Amino acid sequence: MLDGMEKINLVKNVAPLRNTVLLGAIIREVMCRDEGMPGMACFHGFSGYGKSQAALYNTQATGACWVEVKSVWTRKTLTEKICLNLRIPTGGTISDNVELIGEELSKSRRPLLLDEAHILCTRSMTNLVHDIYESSHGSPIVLIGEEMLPQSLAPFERVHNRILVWEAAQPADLREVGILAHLKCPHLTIAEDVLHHTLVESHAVARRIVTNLHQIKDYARIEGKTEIVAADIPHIRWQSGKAPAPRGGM
Amino acid sequence: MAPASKPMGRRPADKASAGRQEMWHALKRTPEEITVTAVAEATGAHRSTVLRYLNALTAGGYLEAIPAPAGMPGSWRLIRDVGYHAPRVRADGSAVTQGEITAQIWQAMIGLKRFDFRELMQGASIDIPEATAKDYCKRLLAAGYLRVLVKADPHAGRIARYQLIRPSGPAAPQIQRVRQVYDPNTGAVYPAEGGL
Repeated sequence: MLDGMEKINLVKNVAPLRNTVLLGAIIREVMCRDEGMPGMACFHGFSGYGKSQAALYNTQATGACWVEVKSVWTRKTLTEKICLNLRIPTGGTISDNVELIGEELSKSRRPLLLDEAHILCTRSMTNLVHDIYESSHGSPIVLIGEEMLPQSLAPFERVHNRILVWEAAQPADLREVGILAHLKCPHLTIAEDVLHHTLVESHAVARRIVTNLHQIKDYARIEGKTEIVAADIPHIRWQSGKAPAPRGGM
Repeated sequence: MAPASKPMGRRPADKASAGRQEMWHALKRTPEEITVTAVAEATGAHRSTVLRYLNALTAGGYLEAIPAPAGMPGSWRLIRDVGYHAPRVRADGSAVTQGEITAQIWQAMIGLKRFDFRELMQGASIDIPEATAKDYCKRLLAAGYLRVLVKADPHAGRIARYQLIRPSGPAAPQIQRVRQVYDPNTGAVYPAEGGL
């Protein structure tokens, strides 16, 4: 579907990765939903798949309000942080803040992206998210979180059944390794075999791919190479993310 | 030579008086009948400043002019409320794009936390010139917003990595011509040291 998209070159610095495009599509779908449809979305996936990177790009592109939730936040902190990110003055109480957030979201038509949303899976926090959703008259809210987010949300029906789109972040593919290689090591020519090996060693996790590309870059610098071919594969210090095995005889 | 009591040109951002944000709040208080006089009195801005903004908002489709009988002052009606923030419009009603690049770099800094200038460019949705991203990092570093994680090493082909250590809020710090960085979140001013 996205083959050859790197050549379109809309904005020269943005990597056309699937997860970025996917999150953009989710936001559009929720914003342009039919009347009477629920207005929340859920984007979930394993750590390191590039969810937050996707959120960053889409925040910039849609002017969204992006809030990264922390586990120590109380309900009041969450409302205050959303107010801060919307750049509106906070009220004194949680209910004041919810009203202010609701008014601003509905008038400015900005989507709200809540990152690390699995932290919000408690009764009181999901009720708060529901309140914000209701007082903003159904402004788009996207919950971004871990792979198990849909299951964690399931007990909280008020939020669970207001979710229009459930979308899982996708693992990286060979095309994306090529794009990342082009971005992170622009001066290197890397053979297809090596890219494929990178993908396998990294278990298709975007963050590990970047780490392994860094290893390739280090290797190329030490060896003074500008072209990495299949013969170099055994010499590169791959990071597969496995914990090192204990040493014998100790 | 101009008298010293009346400085020419626009004042620096940290010394600005009531602007469009205040006018926007004033006009939202009476959305059905907006007059130049009411807004000017509420904000202390000059009448021509108010009129210029009201005309720009009308061109942008935020206000609607209500025709007045000959000899009477005209008034406006609010037809599109976009919330707390004043719409940033040019005289012809198009959106102002000034400040967009630093806003995107700053948002990327907050989102990434640890970054180099290339990653900042990659986290933006618009084209950012390399020199701009580099320069903004350099100036924020001088003003104490960033900490160097990895020093740049041209021999190893490595660029500097930074960490954001003063995430003061959502508004991007502004680099002023008077060699200082103004933080619109807190109103604080930091000198950009090092003779930049």
